[in-house]
Amino acid sequence: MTNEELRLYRAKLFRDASSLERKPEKIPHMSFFVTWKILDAGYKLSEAMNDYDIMEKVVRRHQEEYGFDCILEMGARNAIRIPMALGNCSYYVNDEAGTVNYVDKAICEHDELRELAADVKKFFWEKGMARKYDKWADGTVTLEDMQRVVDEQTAFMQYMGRITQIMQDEYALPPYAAPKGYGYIGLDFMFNTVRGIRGLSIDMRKDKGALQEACAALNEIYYKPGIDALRAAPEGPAMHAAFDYDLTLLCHTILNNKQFAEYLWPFMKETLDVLAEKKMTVRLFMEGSSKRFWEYFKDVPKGVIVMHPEQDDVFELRKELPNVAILGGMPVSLLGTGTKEQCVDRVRRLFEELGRDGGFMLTQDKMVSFRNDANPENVKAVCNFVREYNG
Amino acid sequence: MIDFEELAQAMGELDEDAVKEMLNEVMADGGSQAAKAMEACQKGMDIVGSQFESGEYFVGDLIFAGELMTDAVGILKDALVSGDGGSGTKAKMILCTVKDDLHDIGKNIVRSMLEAGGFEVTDLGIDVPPEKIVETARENNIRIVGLSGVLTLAIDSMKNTVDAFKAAGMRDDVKIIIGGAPVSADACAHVGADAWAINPQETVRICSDWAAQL
Repeated sequence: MTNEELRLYRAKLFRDASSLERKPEKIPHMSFFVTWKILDAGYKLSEAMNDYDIMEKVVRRHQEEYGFDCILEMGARNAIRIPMALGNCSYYVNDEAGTVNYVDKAICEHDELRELAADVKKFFWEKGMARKYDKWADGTVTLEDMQRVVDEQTAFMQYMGRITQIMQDEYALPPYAAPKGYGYIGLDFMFNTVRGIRGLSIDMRKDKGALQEACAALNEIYYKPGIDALRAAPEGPAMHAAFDYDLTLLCHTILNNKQFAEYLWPFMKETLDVLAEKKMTVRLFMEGSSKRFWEYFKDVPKGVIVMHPEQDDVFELRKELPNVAILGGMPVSLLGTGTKEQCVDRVRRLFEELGRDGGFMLTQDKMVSFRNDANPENVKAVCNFVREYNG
Repeated sequence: MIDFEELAQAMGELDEDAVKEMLNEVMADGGSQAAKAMEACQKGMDIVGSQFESGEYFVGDLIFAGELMTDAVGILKDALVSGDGGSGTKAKMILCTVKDDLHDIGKNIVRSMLEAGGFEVTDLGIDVPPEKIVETARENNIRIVGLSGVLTLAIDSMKNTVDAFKAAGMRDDVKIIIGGAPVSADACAHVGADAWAINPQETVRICSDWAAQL
């Protein structure tokens, strides 16, 4: 096979497994290793996160060492150079411990939700930025600083384009999602960036009207362009990519069932309906447990959802939602503290019970982030077993 | 004269306006009923816990409940300090997020529920090294320790903390519970903790059992 043929073949493995109608020739194996691969390559986190040439070496080595069918993360996470162009960011990198922590910080107060709703961009420019960046707050930000932000954004985009192309051309790996294949729901943006966990918990109970107005305004900017682009896209899957769309959600981790039904589900349903119409597939990653909401997905047609559970049992998921393909199954806790035999036994069971008739793709249950999240010998044993099993 | 059952119910329903109105009424009447009002609020927190266990409430509701309870204590504080407070002797415990983990939302929820459950909680904050936890337990003769974490690496830090208690010759003197997203029965065995929990109600229940035995 040429590299191009191999890349398309790998993409087809994901497509066939996702369809739940065609058994793939082999069970595909995806990498969900994030900052771990930097440490595994012998670099400090800050070195790789601040130098795209090093990050490229890290991603290349990761594939050369282990050999996956697709890599979900290629250095895009924790893109700290862009905010650091303004002097500070919400990520705290500790090279000694090999950790990255994100500080949950509200850039909008509860009493300001209606002001945010009235004009999101104006609010961010006048208040949000000052709460995020010290230079903005003390009025010392310059035109040169802003130019640096633009330059860093450009450099980041160039890196992402370059590494994606390298992995396609030299390593025959399909892109993980189609271009523009990402959805962002306003409530999740509110949770991640605007109000934080504590703030959103208060808003849900204190003044629902203000929260709804603010979410509607955020949806105009973050959600609507994505769903409009999806509606305008040609029908049918992008067969060169593993999946068509990605929907990663965090805010459900604090919502009760009524709040989920009211604030989040309508947008998820709209997205899933459009994907079904277009015969496209979404990787759905709901952080933590999504089990409380499985009932909502029972009527979604086969081939639309590939669920990537972080904490839920994949065997139970298969029983409860036979209409949903599964990506995941390899516990990071086992990769970190188990033996090679235990890791291989787990994969064998996954393949025999979930992969036998298709509908299963192997990856790690959580983003593999820290040094002790995975023993490299265990990762190699799993990758070798997958290759042997697949023949 | 306010109806304390109604106050407990309002707290359980997280009806902020009703709770604050009744508490302000207690204070406007001179605060002599502050201890009873506090008890009603604590009863309301039990309702919140039950609602969480039944699946009606979730994490955001617990965070809001914690905020409301903090506000309630703030309103009643002056009267509680000047009176007997009605609290008696409380069981003491340490709570913290372990070293290299900066997450505190879960810990704060658990703290609110523990305090509402009658514990005097020494909250050491986030990113707390094992030595500090051991020292605090030794200096204050605290025999229950709650270790929280969200990141997978927290498991290592929890184990290091348990090992630090062993090294200090204090392991048999303390009960250690671990909680947070990465914990499980396997993680508990690996860490060498006495118990694990992934929700605050379970944490309160386990710690209350320990407090009754110690």
